[in-house]
Amino acid sequence: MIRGYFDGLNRPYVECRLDIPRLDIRESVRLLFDTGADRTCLNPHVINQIGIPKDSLANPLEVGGIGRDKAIFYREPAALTFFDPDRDTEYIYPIELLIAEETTVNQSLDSVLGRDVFDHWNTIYYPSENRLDFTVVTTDRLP
Amino acid sequence: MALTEEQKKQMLEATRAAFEREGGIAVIRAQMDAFHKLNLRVVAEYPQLRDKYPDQWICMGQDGVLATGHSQQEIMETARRKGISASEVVFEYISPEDTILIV
Repeated sequence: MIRGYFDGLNRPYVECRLDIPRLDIRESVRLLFDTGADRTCLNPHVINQIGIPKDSLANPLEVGGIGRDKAIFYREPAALTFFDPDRDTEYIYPIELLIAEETTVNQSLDSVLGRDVFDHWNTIYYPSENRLDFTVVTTDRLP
Repeated sequence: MALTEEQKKQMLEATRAAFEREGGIAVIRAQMDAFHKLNLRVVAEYPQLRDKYPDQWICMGQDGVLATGHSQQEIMETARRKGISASEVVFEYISPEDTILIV
């Protein structure tokens, strides 16, 4: 199974390899597991760290947040790869990644793994036992 | 809007090709393992990091904290000047106190 972990505040994280071919980005990233997120998105903390060129972003989308706040995200084809050490295999998910426009309020926010990816998984979420385990049910992995 | 089936296929093929160019899936897995260990180290040492570097950014590598700064831009510049490869470290903001986050 794919394994995530909890930080000191019991926030749930999972790591993956991120490929954005058009921008020549190939990096490991840490994502917050967020059942409230419809889509997977990158926020400025990770955007800056992995060197996404902001002037190359296009295809904006207005996305609703908590309350009436709206935010602008840029859509980009990308692939997320997760590793399953038990099955000694990897799972690749091609998605339309959302990349946030930097604002005064989102600079320190975690990037988020959304349901567009983990709806393919069966999840054990058990912080008191430090277990955040994902069993892949479906994938777009090539044979 | 989701990707089309053709876009998905292209993305999968491009990703597999990138893995091969970088030395194969074993190399990618090793990179991910190293990244995972660094993140777990930050989690495990967070109380001590908070004591030493409150409200600062740190650059954590295999040998521990390699650089500190007061902003993400500053820490990344410092790391670059020291010849540290960004892909071999993690940059983390050390919050001086537990904050409630709702996303």
